[in-house]
Amino acid sequence: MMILVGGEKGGSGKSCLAQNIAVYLRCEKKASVLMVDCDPQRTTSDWAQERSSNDELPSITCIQLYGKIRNELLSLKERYDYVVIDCGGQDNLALRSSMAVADHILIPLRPKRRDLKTVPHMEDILSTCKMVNPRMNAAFVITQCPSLPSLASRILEAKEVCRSFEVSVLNSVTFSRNMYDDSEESGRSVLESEADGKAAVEIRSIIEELLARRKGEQHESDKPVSLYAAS
Amino acid sequence: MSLINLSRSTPLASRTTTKKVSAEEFIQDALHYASGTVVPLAAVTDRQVNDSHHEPMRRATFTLTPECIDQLQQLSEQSGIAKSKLIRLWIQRYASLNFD
Repeated sequence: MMILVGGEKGGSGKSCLAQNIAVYLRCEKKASVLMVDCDPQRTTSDWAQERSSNDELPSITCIQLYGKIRNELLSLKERYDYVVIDCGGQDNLALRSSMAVADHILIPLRPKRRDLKTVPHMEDILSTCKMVNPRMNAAFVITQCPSLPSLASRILEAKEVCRSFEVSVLNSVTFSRNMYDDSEESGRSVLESEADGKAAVEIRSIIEELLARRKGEQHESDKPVSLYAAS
Repeated sequence: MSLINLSRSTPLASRTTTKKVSAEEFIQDALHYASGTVVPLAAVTDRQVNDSHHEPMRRATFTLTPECIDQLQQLSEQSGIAKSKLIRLWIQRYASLNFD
């Protein structure tokens, strides 16, 4: 199974999500996980290195791949239960190579104008990608949401913008929390820093919702969502 | 300020899906995007073609060289757009050019 966390916008929390998803699969699903860092900033590689120096934490192998990596990914997919790909914030060869073979594509966006302005281009890429990877399960996820109830409308509006482009958006979101930053520094995930914390609940919710989406289901369910259930 | 004005304001046009895009073409297209030459790959979509008229179309006969006929056929196959529609598109584009 191949999970891509990518998108065109930098700073939307791609590496953070990818790392936490990898730990969820490794530690809570007891799966063999490989992380692929396609971002020259090496955020995830540095995190994995930090993690490997801590004997208390189950290690997660991370490799760097750049450029046209489709064949490499297909080969790696055979050797691990999950390959989690962290692609940097730009439309490049690595992102497209990953999209062409990924089973699940998660595109984080903050509820900000500058992030949402990337939706049309992402929708364009996804539409074309369906021709080469018709089974992909792609969805936006809104990240770093403001916790203030008075700003809840921004989250709903951000989801509405995504839906207007006929691209799925997850019900689950992440809120802006220091826990994400603090746990990353020591090579941990939020699941290990505070297993029952709100951030951990958010991560579990996101990955479980993503994986549970049925093949071919392209739109968010109409179920009402309690935005602040986990905040 | 509301984010809603970033929503798509016009309905998604149906894409021309007859043009097959290979994985290699899809990946390679990232270079076009990076260089600023955004060429919609799958699409040539129907978005920019104003075919929203409701009047029945009429057949018309024009004289083309064999070379033009071959090129039109090739362009139609490559883009997945019918030959007549390509001609309508070109006329529309040409008509919109400002010659002043």
